[in-house]
Order: sequence, then C-alpha cells, then structure tokens
Amino acid sequence: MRCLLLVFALWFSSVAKAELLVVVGEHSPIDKLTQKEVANLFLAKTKQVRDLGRVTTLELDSSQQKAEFYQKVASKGPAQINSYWTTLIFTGKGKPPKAFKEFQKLINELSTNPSAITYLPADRVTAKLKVVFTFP
Amino acid sequence: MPFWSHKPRLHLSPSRHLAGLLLCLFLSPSLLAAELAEGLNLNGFYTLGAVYSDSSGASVATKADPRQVGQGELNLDSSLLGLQLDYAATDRLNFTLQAISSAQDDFDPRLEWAYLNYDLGNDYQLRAGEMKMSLLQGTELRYVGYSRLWARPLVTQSGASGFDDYTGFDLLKTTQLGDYNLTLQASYGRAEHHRDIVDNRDIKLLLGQIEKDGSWVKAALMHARYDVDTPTGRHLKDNATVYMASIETELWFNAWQINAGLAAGSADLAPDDQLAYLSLGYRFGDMTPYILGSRVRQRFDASEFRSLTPPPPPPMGPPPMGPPPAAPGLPDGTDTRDTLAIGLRYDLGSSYALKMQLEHWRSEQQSNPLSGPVKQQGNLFTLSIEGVF
Repeated sequence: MRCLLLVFALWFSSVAKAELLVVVGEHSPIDKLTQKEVANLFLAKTKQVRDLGRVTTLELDSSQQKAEFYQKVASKGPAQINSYWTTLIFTGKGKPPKAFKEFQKLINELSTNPSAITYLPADRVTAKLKVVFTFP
Repeated sequence: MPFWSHKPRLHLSPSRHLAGLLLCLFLSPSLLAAELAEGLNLNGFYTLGAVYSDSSGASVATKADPRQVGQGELNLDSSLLGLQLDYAATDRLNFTLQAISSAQDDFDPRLEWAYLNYDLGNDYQLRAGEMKMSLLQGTELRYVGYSRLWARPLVTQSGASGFDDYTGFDLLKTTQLGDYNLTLQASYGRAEHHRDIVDNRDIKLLLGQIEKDGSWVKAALMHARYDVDTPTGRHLKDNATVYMASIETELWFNAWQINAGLAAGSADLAPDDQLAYLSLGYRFGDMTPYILGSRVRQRFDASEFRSLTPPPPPPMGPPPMGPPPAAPGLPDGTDTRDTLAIGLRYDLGSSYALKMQLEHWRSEQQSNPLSGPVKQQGNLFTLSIEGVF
C-alpha cells in the first residue's frame, strides 16, 4: 500500500511540474484572466486587458514549453503557430511575445514591469509572481 | 506526349543563381530569428523552388512583371530570399525594413516595405511609409511562400491593377466582439505602378477581417486615381480611376482547411479583372494534401480608347451605319485562364516545408486583335522548399 502511495505521489508530482501557469509580477494590476483573454494576448490579437491597460507578453525561448502552451491556447502545433506568426510579422500586423533565453532575465522583467505577463511551468513560479490563469 | 517524357531545359544564370541558392541553403531552417541588439530583430523568409512546364504560356513571377516559362523548361526563377529588420525604438514606436532578393532579378536586392509603426493605445496602430496592398490581388504576402498552403502564389503577376506598393498611412484597429476578433484597416497614400506611363494621384483602401479559432473572412475595397501617358510621352488621360474589391476566407473544420476568394476590378484604360479560387486541404499530421481550382478573367475594351485616338478623315461617301469600330490594333475581348492543381505541403520542421504541386491550366485569349481567339493548355510541376527564420 505504501509503495502504491509513493508511486502515486511521484506520478502526481511529475504531472504537477509539467503544468503551465500564466503569471504576472506581484505589482501587476491583473488578478484573473479567462482562457480567451490569454489566447488573445499571446496571439497578438490585443495588447489590452479590459480596462487594466497595456500588456506586454513575454516567453522563455524553450521550444518544448512553447509547443505545449500554444497547443493549449490555440490548438496549433509548432509548424502551424510559425505559419500564424509569419502572416503577422511579414505584414507588420503583430509580433510574437518577446523571447528570453535566460530564465532569470525573464523573472527580472516580470518583477520590474507591471504590464508584463508570461507563462511558466508550475515548479518555476516564485512567491514574487501572481498566477492569473491555470489551464483546466 | 506526357510532360514527364520531355527532357527539361534549364533556365538559370549559373554564377549568380548558384550564389543565391547557396545563400538560401546556408540560412538553414534551424536558424532562429536573431535579436541583433536590444530591440533590433532580424527575421527572414526564403523559397528554393523549381518549376517545370511542358508548354509555353505559363508564368513565374517574383516581381511585378512575370516571366513566361518556355516549353520543356525547368525554371528556378521562383527562388528568393527576404530579410526583415525591426527596430523597437520605444515600446510604442517601431521601424521596419523588408527587402527581397530574387532569382528573377539575378538576386539584386530591392526594398519592399519601409515604415514606422506607432502604437496609439487601445489596440490602434498608425503606420507611415512604404507598404504593400492588402487586397487579394495585391497579395501582401506574395513572396512569403511559407505563409500559404500552395506551392505557387494565386496571382503570379501584379494583381492590384499594377498598384502593389504605396507610400502613405495606415490606421489599424483590432477589437473583440464576443468570441470573434475584428481587424479594421484604412489606408491612404500614393501608389507606385510597375509601368512608367501610369502616374498615380492617390489610393485609398478599406479592409475588414473577422476571425475566430483560426477561421477568418476578409473583405477589402480599393480606389485609385491615376494619369496615363503613352510611351512616347503623349498625355492620354487625366484622373483615370480603378475600383477593386476582394473577399477571402479560410475555414477550419477539425483537420479540413478550406480557402476561397473572389475579386473583381474595374479600371480605366486597363482590363477589368475577375478572380475566383477554391481550395480544399486535409491535414494528416505534418502533411497537408490539397486540391486548388482558380479562374482568372480579364476583359479588354478597346472602345475606351476611341475618344482618345484622333478621328479619321471624313469619308467620301455617306457615313456608315452603326457604331464606329473599336480602335484598331488594341486588345478587345475577354481572356480567361482556368487552373486545377493538386499538391502537398509537408512540414519537415517547425519553420520550413517541402511543397509539390502539379497544375493543369487552360487559357482562352480572345483579346488579341492580330490573331483572333487563341486556346492554350499545359501542365506545370513545382517543387520547392520554403521557410522562415
């Protein structure tokens, strides 16, 4: 029985680590977002959240994490999301989120920019960040 | 004799073309968009393509004037490389430059877009500079092959009645209507025509697009005024006008992709255009086979020139009955071109794709005043690798 519980706990923790959360800095005016609002922001369809002002989208330059996120918000695979960005970038009608190669630089930007928003795996969310959306 | 039994003739300029192709290969699909410095980003797109034709009469174009592909010719002119530099001077002000270098131009680079973009807030954007027409016929993404399903662009030649580029202003607004995303665009400026004899006065464009879950419908309306001279400099017409309208859609039903479009244009001293297309594709993992049909129709009316040519001397006898004849030697009648293609897009990676397309075309030219109606048909095979970085 203890073995089963241990196996279950290990499995659950691995699932929890993979979960992506949409987060903002602790000083952000945003408290909660709907999935539609998250999709519209990260697909560059809007830069506004209701009456809370401009939002700047950021992301970590990790292909696995990006693939998982865009599959969840837009049901698009990597090639499809690249085709989507292509139509926006080369007509000047939108840009993908600002990409960061280093995790710490991303966190610093979130901490200093109240309009910044990003998505992170649950195990990388710190106490200085606020979770505004969790995928069902 | 089937087209595959012809031995192809290769059309390329060896040294420059080789250099261009090597450049395309060097910029491998795995090369990511580069941030050159804080706020300065470089993106690009490329096509490495070959088109084989079993007859004359088809065309390949990576600039306003297409080049006819000869019978039995293996043509590499559709290869090109595009680079775009974006500089975010502030979080609201952005500069963009986009240039392309194509095999048809011997890889001499030319500037395609050069504009400032200012974010006014509330999802309003103001752009000023040199931009490309957003109409179907203008196809602002004509050179970005990776952005489309098909191996060849829908319109191989200049489609917005010759006005592809304009220098002016755009105002764009995006908003949400429930689950739908709405984009509106109003543009005003002065357009560049690919013929020196046409001098544009102004151009106006209105566009609306509604989108939900990847499916969208887009409608656009353009009006332009221009003056026309003859090649010898004689003034033909002031304040000629052209109206163009288009409506396009892309619809997704699970893995089914449906694309359709209709466009029409009416121009002074130029043929009236109509274009219709319908495409059906199905996504199997990384592969999307498709079928595409299109019809392009141009109606020439030589009687438009009647008032512009000097009247003939009075006849010796009584005046002839009926309307005066159309100006001799000018195109008059309707030209039609139908195509039916099957193809495959294979996404080899997340940013590049292999495309193959077999296309059968038929044309009927009624406008040639010298030869009378001419019917032609042929087959084209296109193989290309297209990508972005």
